[in-house]
Amino acid sequence: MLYRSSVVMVGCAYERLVVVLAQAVGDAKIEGSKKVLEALEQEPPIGVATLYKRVRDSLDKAALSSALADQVSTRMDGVFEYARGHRNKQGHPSGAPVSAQEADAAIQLFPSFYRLVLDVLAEIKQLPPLGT
Amino acid sequence: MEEKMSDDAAETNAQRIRDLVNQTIHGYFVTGGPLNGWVNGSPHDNGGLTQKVMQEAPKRSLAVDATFWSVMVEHIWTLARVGAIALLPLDPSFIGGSIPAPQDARITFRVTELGKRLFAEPDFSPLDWPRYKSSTLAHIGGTPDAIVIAHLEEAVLARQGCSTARPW
Repeated sequence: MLYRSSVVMVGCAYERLVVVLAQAVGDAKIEGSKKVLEALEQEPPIGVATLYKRVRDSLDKAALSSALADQVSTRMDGVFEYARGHRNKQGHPSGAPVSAQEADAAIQLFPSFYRLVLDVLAEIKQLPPLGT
Repeated sequence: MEEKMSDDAAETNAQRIRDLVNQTIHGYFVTGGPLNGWVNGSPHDNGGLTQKVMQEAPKRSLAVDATFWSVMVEHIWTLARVGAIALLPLDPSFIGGSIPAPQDARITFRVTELGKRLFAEPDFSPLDWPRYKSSTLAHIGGTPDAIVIAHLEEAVLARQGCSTARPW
């Protein structure tokens, strides 16, 4: 089985969601939005880990509901780091092996990660922009 | 737009056929005997997989036509490729003897231990892209990001062992 290809591609799906989230944070004009927008427009493109950190810095300052904020700091961070770690390890010529369980976990965790991102998107759309 | 809807309808129909095959295998063959027939291999088992899906398809308003068999055969091979079922070769030298008369010239399969788990709990399985996709879309609701879904499909197909290289 192509476990290495699988973790790389699902890693790309996770990273795409981070970009979608970053665009929404940038558009929301909340605290930290400007830094996120700068990161999105940077040439050469900024690494996804740095982009995610800027998104998280912004979300930490946003008035998310406590339940959602808790989900972000536990599940979202943990799952994203898991997927990014494996994607990095396999996307670069490390020669490190990847198991079926590791490949399966990244895929199985993805739907709930996507759902969580959508929940965050829905809440930040309701936040008042800075200066209002 | 009309062509897209037609494609969607075809995929929906194909998914219903795959569901029927999965549910039939789960319902009749997971706990069956050691050898399970593609067609009726024994007077005692009330038909093999083909007979059982033919009995069930009209109840689900599924037409048993050329498309039906194409989807079913492709799905059977997908199940075999991911290890959910093991297809038994008909070569006597491989299986260590001649094949009993009722089973000769018939594709035979056995549900593997992995397959038993897969059929029992298929949601979000990395081994079943159509089911995984439909479960994921139902879970997230709304219109998914097309790029995300494209990456996800390649990840699941790679997990299945398919080459995801495109001809373009």
